[in-house]
Amino acid sequence: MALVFLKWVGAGALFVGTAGFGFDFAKKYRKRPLELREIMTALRMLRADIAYHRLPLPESFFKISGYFSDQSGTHQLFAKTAELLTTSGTEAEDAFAVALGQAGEFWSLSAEDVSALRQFSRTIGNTNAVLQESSINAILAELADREKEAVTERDRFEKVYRTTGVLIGVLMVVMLW
Amino acid sequence: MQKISLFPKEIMQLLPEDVSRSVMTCQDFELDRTTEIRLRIGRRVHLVGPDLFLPITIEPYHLRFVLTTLTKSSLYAVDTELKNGYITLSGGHRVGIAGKVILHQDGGVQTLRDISSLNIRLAKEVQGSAKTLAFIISKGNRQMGSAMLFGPPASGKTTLLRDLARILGNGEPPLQRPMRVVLIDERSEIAGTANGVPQFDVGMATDVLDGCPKAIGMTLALRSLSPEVIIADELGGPQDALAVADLAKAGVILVGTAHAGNVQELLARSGMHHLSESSLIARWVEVSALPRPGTIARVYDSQLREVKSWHWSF
Repeated sequence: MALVFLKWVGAGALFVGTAGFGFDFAKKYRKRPLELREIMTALRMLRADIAYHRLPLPESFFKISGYFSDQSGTHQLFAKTAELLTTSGTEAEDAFAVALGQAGEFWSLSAEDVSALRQFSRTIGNTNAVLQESSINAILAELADREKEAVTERDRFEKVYRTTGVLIGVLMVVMLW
Repeated sequence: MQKISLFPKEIMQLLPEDVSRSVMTCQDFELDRTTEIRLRIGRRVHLVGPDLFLPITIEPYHLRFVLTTLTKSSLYAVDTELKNGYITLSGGHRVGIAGKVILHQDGGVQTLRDISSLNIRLAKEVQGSAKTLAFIISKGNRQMGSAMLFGPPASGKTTLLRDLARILGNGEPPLQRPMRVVLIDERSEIAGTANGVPQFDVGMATDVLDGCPKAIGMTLALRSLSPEVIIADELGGPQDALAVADLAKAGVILVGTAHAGNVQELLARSGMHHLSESSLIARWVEVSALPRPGTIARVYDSQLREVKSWHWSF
C-alpha cells in the first residue's frame, strides 16, 4: 500500500518538475518582448529628459527607475546606474555597463539584446543633446526590431516548450511506472 | 544660513583622491587665503592666493576625473556653459576651462576638446563686505541711484554684489526697509542656486532669475517681478548696455559689474561708453584686489568725475 502511494508521489514530483521546466522556458519567451518594450519606454523618457529638460544623467536615471517595478530589470538597470554615478569621477558608460551586468538576473533578454544596449552605452552622456537624441533614436529602432523578432519567437516557442515539458513528464512517468 | 567654509564639500568631491589628500596637508591659513585651485596638464597643482604649488603633477586622467564629476557625466547638460568656457557648481563655485576650441560653422564656439587646464574658483560669502557700497548707492539714504562696479578679474566684484543683494533685500542699515531685489544670475554664481534654492544669503526680498541672459532677464523682471533694484553681474556687450539704459529709464535702480582695470579701460568698451554718456549711472565704483579683494578704490559720479569724499558724505 505504502509502496503504491510512494509511486504516485514520485510520479507527481517528476511530472511537476518537467512541466515546470517547460513553463520556465516558455516564460522567458513570454517576458522578453514585454521587457524590450519596457526598456524602450524608459529610453523614450531618457530622450525627453535629455533633449528637452537637459537633465543630468544621475537625476534622469533615478527618476526613470521609479516608474518601473522593483523586480523589473529596467528598474534595476536605471537605479543601479544612477547609484553608481553618485560616486565622484564615475563615467556614465562604465556605470551603465556595470549595472547592465548586475541587472542580468532580473530579466530574460538575449545576449544580443544586452550587447546592443552595451553598444549604445558608449555614447551616453558624452555628446551634445542633438547627438544624444540621435543615438537614443538608433537604439530605439534596433530594440523595436528585436521586439518584433521576440514576438515571433514567443508565438513559435512559448507553446512548444510548455507542451514539451508536460509531454516529457507524462512520458517519463509512463516509462518508469 | 550656514556659513560656507573655504573648501566646501562640493570642491573636495571634485578633486581626485591624491590631489585632495595633498590639499589636506596644507596649513589652515593657506587654505583660508586660497581663491582658486588651478589644475594644468603636466604641471603642479597651483593654489592661487597663498601661491602654493602642491607636489602633484596633473595627468590627463586627473582632469578627466574632475570634468566627469563636474558634468555629472552628462556633457549635453552643460553644453551652453562649456561654450562659454566655464561650468558653475552647486554652491556658486565656478570652474573655468581651457582647451582646444572647436568652432561652429558660423564661427561661434561649438565645444572645447583636449581640455588642458581647469581653474576652480571658490565662491566666497563675506557678509558685511558691501556695507560701504550700500552707503555709496543709497547716498546716505536720500535718493538711490544706479551704480556700476568695475575692476579687474578676481577683484571681488561678485562677492560685493552678493552681499549688496543681501543688504538691500534684508533692508539692513543704511537702508530703512527691505527692497524688492531681482538678481539676474546668468552664471548661477551670485546666488549659487542649486535646484531652485539660493545657497548664499541674498536677502529676504530678493528674487533670483537663475541662468537667465541679462538682457532677457531685465525685460522679464520688469514685466512680472516689479523690482525696485535689479542686480546683474558682468555687463559687457552692447546689448547689455541697451537693456541697462532701458531699465534706468523705467525707474528701476540697477547695480551691475563690468571688467575694466580703470576708467580709461572702462570707456574703451563701447557699451560702457554709451552708458556713461547717457548719465544714467549715478555712481561708478572702482573695485580693487588690493590690499584685499573687494576694496573700493575710487568712486565716480554720473559724469565720471571722481567723488573724493565718498567715505562719509554725499
